Amino acid sequence: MIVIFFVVVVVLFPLAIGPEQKILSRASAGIIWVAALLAAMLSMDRLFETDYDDGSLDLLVLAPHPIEILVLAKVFAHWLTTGLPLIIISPLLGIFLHMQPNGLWVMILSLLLGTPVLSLIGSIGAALTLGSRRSGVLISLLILPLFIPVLIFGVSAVDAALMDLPVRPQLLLLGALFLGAFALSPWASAAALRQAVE
Amino acid sequence: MMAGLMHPVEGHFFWNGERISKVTDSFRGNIYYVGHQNAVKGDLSVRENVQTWAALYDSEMENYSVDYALEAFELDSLANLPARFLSAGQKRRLNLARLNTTGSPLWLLDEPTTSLDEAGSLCLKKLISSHIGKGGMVVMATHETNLTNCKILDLSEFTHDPAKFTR
Repeated sequence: MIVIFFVVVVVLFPLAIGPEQKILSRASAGIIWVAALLAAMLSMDRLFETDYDDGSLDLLVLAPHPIEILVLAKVFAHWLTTGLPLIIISPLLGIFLHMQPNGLWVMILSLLLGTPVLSLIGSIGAALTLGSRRSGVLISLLILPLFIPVLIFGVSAVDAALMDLPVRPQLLLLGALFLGAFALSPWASAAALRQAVE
Repeated sequence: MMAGLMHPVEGHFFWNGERISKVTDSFRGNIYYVGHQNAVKGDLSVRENVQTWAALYDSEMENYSVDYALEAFELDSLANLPARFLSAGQKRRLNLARLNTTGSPLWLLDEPTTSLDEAGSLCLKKLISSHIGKGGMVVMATHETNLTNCKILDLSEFTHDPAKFTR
């Protein structure tokens, strides 16, 4: 589902801005990254919501494991079902958009580092908006601004590769974002979940 | 509140002589809570619904005991059916069947007999008395009146007094 959404959004761009090779290949990294952000957002609100609705969340919070570990497990499952398929399909879409081959590898690497960050930060939004109506819109408002650094460094890594510049700094920064999100967001999500079941 | 989900306005809850707010992590494995919702995943089979939680609670029970737990609530014939096909009473029985697999000494039951038929209530009563026989504890909020072998706290004696909460 998410993958189909991702593909359709990316395919819409050539239809909207025309099939000129130069423009498309210039914008390809940005298009794919923005589409990946939107695809990740799309499924975010369901991360804890079904558990919250059927009462499983109460039991998960009461289970004899730290909630932070449960959050990490949830986030990993979310990444496996959204992030990983996007990464697998992205080279194909890159070719659609006339991306140069040297950019493709960097794009895969940057998505590998970046999409887990999206899942991790998104889990905070999903946990915070539990119980509110129209939580999907609210999550987007809360979380999309936090995705901006990932977007900037993800796109600039690919652009640098396309211009034959070193990509190491951008990828290292993405890695730093990943490690930061990995260390901090489970705590924030767990605190929000405790609040939600109270 | 007893599960540690909410904080009491006044006073503390104690578990083995320690405040539960201080020993949350070690306390949590000791309870199993059955609330108004059944926490049943429709896409999993009846057996998987029980197995998942048994695994999460680190109970060392084998498949045998999952079967046994299902049997105790007469769900063994439905074990491989996706849980979304169950009726409300069957879902409730499935939730209660988990009690036996988690190995928690304290059960917190919030109106567990809701949507249960007489046979189901009987199963629950049997399960509770065997749990107590093994040295377990059960705290149950219920509307049933003919209970034996238990302490009763009648909440109608604690009528809501708003003056108490304004300071």
